Amino acid sequence: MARVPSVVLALLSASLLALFVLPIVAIATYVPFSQILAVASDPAVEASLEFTLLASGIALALAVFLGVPLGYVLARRRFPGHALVESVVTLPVVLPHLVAGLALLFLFAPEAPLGALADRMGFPVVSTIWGVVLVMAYVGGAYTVLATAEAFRAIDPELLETARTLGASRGDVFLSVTFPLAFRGILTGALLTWARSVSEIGGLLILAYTVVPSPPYNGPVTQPITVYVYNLYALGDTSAALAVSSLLILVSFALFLAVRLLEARGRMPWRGRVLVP
Amino acid sequence: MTTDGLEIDGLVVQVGETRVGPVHAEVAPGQVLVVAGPSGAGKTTLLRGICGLLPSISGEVRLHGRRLTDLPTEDRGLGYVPQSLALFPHRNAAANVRYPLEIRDREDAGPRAEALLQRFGIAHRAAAHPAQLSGGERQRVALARALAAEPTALLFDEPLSALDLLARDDMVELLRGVLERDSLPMVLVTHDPMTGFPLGDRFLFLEGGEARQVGSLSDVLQGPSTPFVARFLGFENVLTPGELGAAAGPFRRWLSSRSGPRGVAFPADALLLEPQGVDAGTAGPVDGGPWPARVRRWRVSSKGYRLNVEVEGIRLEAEVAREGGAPASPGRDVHILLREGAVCALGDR
Repeated sequence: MARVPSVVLALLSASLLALFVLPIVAIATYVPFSQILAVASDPAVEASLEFTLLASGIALALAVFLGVPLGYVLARRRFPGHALVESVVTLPVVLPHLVAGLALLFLFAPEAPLGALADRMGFPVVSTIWGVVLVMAYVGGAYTVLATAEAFRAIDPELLETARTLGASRGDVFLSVTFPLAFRGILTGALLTWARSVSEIGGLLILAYTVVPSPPYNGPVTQPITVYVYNLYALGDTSAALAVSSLLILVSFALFLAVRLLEARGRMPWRGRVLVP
Repeated sequence: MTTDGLEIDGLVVQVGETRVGPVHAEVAPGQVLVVAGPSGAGKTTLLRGICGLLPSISGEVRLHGRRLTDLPTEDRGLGYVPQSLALFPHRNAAANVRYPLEIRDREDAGPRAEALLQRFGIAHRAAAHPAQLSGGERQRVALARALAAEPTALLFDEPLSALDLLARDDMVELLRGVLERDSLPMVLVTHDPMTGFPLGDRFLFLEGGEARQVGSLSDVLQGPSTPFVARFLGFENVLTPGELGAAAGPFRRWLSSRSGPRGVAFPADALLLEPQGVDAGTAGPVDGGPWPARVRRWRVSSKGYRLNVEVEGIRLEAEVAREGGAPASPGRDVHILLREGAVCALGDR
C-alpha cells in the first residue's frame, strides 16, 4: 500500500487540532484577564462555580464507586447477557442529552414512584443538587466504566497468576497488581467523567435549570455553571458569558493539569499491597 | 514411593477441550525433571496444574510428602517462572524481587531482595523497570523473585527459549548454581529437549496431552519408547509399521522381516535406521541391498555428505563419505546399501 506523505498527515492532523484549539484562543484573546478575575469574585458566579464543582465531585465519586466494579466485571467475568450489559453502558454516550434529561425527569418527578421514594428518603431530585448529580452521573458515568473495563482487560492474566504463586491471595493480587496496573486507565476514565459532567447542559436544562438549596448544598439559589453561561448569553450579555466561560476553562484546565502532573511525577506509588497516598 | 521431593501421581489436568495426563513423575531435591514436547503437547498446562492455577481432574501432587492438590496456589510453596516471566511492569527490578516478601509483611524484605539481586549479578539494575532490562536480566530478576518467596520446588516454563546462545549458557550455569545451593526439586519445560539435556536428571515426554515416556537421559537415548519420542530426540529414519505399509516392494518386505540385534522382531513400534548405516553407492559389509533409490536433496555434514533419498516411497537420510567425491545431484538415481547392524527395532538399541 502506498505510504501517505507526512505532509498530508500533518495537514490533516493540524486541521483538527486547530478546530479544537482556536475557539479557546478566540475566547482568550477576546476576554482580558482582568475581566476573568472580576467575574471570579462575583458572588453569583462564585456560587454557581462552587455548586458545579461540588455536584460534579459527587457525580464523579458515584461514577467511580459504582463504575469501577462494573468495569471490572465486564472485563474479567463472562456471564449471560454480557454483550447486552456492555451495550447498555454505552447508551448514555449515544443518547441526546435533552432526551436523557426528559427521561430522568419522567423517572424522578415527585409524582413518579421513584421520585416520590427519593423525596421520602431525603434526596429530592428536581431542581436540587441531586438532580444535577443524577444528570452528571448519567451522561459521564459511562466513560469511567468503559475506560476501567479497557484498563482491566489490558492486564496480562499471567501477571495475576504469577502473583498468586508468589504467595498473594486473590485480594492481595487485586490490591497489589490488578488495581495499580489499571489505575492509569481508571484515572483517565474518571477525568473524562468529570469533564463530561462539568460541561453538561442538555439534561440540566430539563431537570435542574435552577437549583434550590438542599443538603449537601446549602448555598444560595443558583444554576449549574453551564446553564449560568447559557443564561447570560440568552439575555444578551455575551461579554459576561465569555468571561465566565474563560474562568471555567481555566479551572478545568488547572484540575486536569494537576492530576496529570501528579501522575507523571509518580506521586501515587504502590508499596506492597497498599497505595501510599 | 519417595516422600522427599516433588511427586506427580497420576495427575490429570483439563483446560477447555485439552486434557493432559495422567502423568506420573518424581523429582528429588537438587534434581531436574525436564518436561519436553512440541507446541500444544500440554507442557504449560501440566505446570499450571501442578501450581494449582488449573484444577486437576484426578491424581495428586505431593511435595516432601505433603499433599498439595487441595491447597490454593498461594499456599503450595511452589516457585513458578512462566515463559513470559510475568515481571510486574509497575515495579522496578528490586520491587519485583521484594514483592513476595512484602506480601508476607516481612520486615527484612529490602535487605533480602538486595541480597538476591547481588547473588544473581543484577544489583546494578535494581532501579530499572522490566521494559528497561535485557532478556537475560529479566530472567535473573524473575528467578530472584521466585526464590524470594522461599519456595520448596521451582517450576520453569521454557527458561531458555528466548535467549541467545551465550545468554542460554549463562542461564544454564545460573540454574545449576540454584540446584547446588538451594537443592530444590526443579521442573523445567522445554519444546527443545537439547536445551534440557545439560540440566535434566529425568525426562518426561508429552505428546497431545499424553505422557509417552519418563526416564533418565541414558534411558531415553538408549531406548526411546515411541516413534514420537525417537523423532523428538532427533533420531532419523524412524519407520513405523503404518509408514512401511504391508508388502509394497522388495525393500519394504525386506525391512519388515528384520529384527533387532537383541531379537526384538519388527513390526515392533518402529524401526530405526542409523544414517551412518545407510550408504549410497559404495560397497562394504552389508546386510541388505543394493536398493534402487532417488536423491531428493543433499547437504554437507561434519563427516561427509548427508543425502535424503527415496526408496519405494520411503524417505531416508544417508551418510556418504567425502572421499567418494561430490554426491549425486537431486533427481539422480542411485543404489543404497544398508550396512550390517544399521537396522534395529525401537526399544532394542
